[in-house]
Amino acid sequence: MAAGEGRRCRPLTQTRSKVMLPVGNRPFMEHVILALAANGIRDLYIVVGYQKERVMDYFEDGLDFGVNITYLEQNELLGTAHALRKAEAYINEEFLVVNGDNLIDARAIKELISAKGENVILAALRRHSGDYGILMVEQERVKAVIEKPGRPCSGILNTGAYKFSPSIFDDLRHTPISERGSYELTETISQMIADGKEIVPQICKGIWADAIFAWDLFNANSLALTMTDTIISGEVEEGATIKGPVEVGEGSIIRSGSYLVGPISIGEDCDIGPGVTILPSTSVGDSVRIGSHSEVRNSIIMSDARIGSGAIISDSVVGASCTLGDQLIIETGPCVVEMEEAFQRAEFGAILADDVTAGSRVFASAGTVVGTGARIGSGSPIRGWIDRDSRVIS
Amino acid sequence: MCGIVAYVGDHLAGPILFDTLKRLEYRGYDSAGVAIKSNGEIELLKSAGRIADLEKVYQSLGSPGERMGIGHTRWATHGRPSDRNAHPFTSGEIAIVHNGIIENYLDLRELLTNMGYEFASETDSEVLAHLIHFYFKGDLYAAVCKALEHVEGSYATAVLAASSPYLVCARKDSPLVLGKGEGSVYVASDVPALLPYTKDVIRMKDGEIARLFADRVELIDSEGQPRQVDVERITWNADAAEKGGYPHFMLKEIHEQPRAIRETIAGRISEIDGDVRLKLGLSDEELKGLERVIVIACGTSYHAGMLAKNLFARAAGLPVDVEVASEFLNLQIRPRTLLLGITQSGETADTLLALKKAKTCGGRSLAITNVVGSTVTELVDGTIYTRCGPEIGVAATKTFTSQLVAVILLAIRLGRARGHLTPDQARKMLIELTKLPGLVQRVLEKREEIRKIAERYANASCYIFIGRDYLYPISLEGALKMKEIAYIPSEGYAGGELKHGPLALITENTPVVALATCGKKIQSNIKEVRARGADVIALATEGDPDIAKVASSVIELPETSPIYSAVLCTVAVQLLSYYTANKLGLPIDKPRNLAKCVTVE
Repeated sequence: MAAGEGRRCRPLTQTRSKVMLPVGNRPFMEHVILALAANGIRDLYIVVGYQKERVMDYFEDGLDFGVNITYLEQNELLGTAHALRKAEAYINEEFLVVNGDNLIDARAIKELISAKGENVILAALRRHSGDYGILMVEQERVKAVIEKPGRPCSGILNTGAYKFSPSIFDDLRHTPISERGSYELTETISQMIADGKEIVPQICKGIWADAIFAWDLFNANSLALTMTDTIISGEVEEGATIKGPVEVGEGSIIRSGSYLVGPISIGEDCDIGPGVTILPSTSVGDSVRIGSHSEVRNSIIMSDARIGSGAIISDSVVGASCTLGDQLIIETGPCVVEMEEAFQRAEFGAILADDVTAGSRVFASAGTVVGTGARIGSGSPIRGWIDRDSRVIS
Repeated sequence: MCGIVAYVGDHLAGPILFDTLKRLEYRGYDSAGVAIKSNGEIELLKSAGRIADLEKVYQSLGSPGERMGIGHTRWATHGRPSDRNAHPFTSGEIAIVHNGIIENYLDLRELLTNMGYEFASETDSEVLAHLIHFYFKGDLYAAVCKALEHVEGSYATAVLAASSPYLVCARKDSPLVLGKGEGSVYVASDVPALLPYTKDVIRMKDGEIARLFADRVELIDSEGQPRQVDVERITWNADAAEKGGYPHFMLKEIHEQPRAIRETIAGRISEIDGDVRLKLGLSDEELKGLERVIVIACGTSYHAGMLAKNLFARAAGLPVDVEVASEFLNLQIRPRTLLLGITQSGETADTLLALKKAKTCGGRSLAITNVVGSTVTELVDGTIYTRCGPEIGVAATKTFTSQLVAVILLAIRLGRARGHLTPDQARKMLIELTKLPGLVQRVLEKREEIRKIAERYANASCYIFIGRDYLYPISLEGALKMKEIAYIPSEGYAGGELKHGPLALITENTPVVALATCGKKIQSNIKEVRARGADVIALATEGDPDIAKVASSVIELPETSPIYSAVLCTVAVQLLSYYTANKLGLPIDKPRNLAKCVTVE
């Protein structure tokens, strides 16, 4: 499932859907696909819609990822049940349904595959803010699926990963339209329960993580980075220090005097340093430049970004192709952010979407969110929401 | 201009031949044929039209159980497309497929006619079949050797004889690669066609003849000496060539451009010292001593060459002549001249010939190509590979923008070597260059906007593209794309040239695309055509305050320096012609009468 935007991860999803947001230097969906491939699943049907070109350009036919991909288009966002029906013509045996925008590992997929039962839901036990469906379980059967409660709670939540037999396509046809005007898989399942069909919950012991808001990406990122090993394919100049698991991609150079503490993943053709400090749980994409004497910690720097000298960045996301001037300082700490007309408590530095340009000596307060293509003049202090393509002049 | 394939091995030859032929279909597709050997006899199938039709005929035969065969997809140069002129050609028990041109074919034809051979076709290739038959006394290899001694011109050929246990292949100035699989040997005109079967390929050199058995390949070089077989392992995958969710290869390849540009610059730039690393095979002293550059190219590559003209003059203080390869006269060459051949495939016959001519007059040479190990790379002192992977759509897209980037890299290198650019000037250019993939991505995101404009003007009788300076070559490229895939007669002009004639063409039904990201002068040209009733689609820099006042519609492109805006404008005009052709329902990936790689003069 890769058709939705992931609105609450805005502004990062202004230019790509949530499945393409990188954690541990790979898009969410790449982790999903690799986990499926590791379990011998070869034929993937990916339902695409919002910003589908980004998905198709990255995964192509799947050969580089060890799978065969067929893309199915869902142009009108009419829900997961509607999306699944797009695959009906292709499927005639037991199959899995997984979200492309969650982090999931091979072990979790294996648990789902080997679970007994025709219809299985991968469930997770955890406390959360009420953004997931809750499963009511009795005697190892799902008795009810409760829609997102919308308030903090703990219990067995629905991860949105399923195993089904092809007979579900009959049930899908009878899925009632929801209050939101869409056809949801959870409705289908409720109806199947009502019809007396058995739905088995499988509690996930592998890795499963999601990001509701853009600032939840750090958790998923650090979780994904726990799978990192030290692999240095690029060049590390003499005088640079590397500790812990650090990946340096082909063609990248870590210049002298830099100090890197893993887990860190650095992509291809990056130019880091001299004298740059990168601290744990940081992902750096491809073709990124980080100028001398900058410090980056617990952050996601996407491809083609350029960070000047003497910048300090922590608990932040820097979008693709951002150009940030010298001595940019991002403060980090607790903050309140407005999202979809509600205020959310959070703790992070700044979220910069793609193509943001900032001059020198820009200071961002904790909780700053900057939209795609915004331009920040030199010396500007910034805070709160800055809209797409806006200009900030100090 | 054709594709040839062959197979010998443990598997059924027919399905393999048809499959590889389909992968070569982009090279030309007006007729096709196969010859397969079963039970000591040769079965011949050929027809004008699509390979899929031919395959149906083959299937209707039931499988004859063959293990050896040759096949051909043809694009007419000599003789009309027809069953009669389709390959393979047979003469007695010999069957051949041939790609290239036999220059002395009329003489040979007369000679063979006098000896009693009857010709069934109008083609030059049939001569080769009869000639081999004439020499065939049971040793196919010897017969091919002798026959080729009489042939002047170019060839890539595969030969089958009913009584021979092996196949023979030979090449001279036409592409041919061999693939070695488990108990199988494959032959095709290019590597991607082979990749579904094997990743181990053997590139044949000019003048070589090969004997192919199911379990081995024997290569004999042009001196008649056996050569050790070097097997090259291909690491890229063929299915990079599949459409991956897009309706057309062209649209996919347009979208691959950020990645392609990244590949072209990867590992080649060093911002810290403001220089470009290229393996040119020329010392800085030699680059310093250059007095002129002559660019030799055809079609889209020629447009990439035209960008070099103003760029090399500014960045490296070098005057540049850009020559259409087929019109090139080697009289122009003086010492201290650098020849720069630009060819996507590295096999473009006109470009190769012009480079060969030029080399005989001295002068150093470089090539920009996308195909590693292609013929052009053997001709020149150094090669800049564009590294953008195979391009399947006949209309060049990602290979063109990568060529532009390669030209820019070369300009910076020349500028630095010649002391014309300071390290800091070069560094600034390189910083902008590293931003280019991201900027191209932003242009791609304008696709809906561009689609609407394209659809509005899809029924135009004629398109005019205008641009100045670095954008003049792009106006030519825009017009070429519109002609190639949308079949709309189009012209590209330098902005200042409009008033010297082309203005007469302007009517209400001639949309004018103005490439306006490079200087203000173009605005007066826009006013000129607006005054005559034409709609103007302007490609302008974001936030340009004036352009909206003069143009009918504006496509805003991200701000960058003029040289890089040429790349951004290219992407926009590619999308414009793509969506125009799509609206008109045309076969975008295989436009009529065109072939991907033109290996005939």
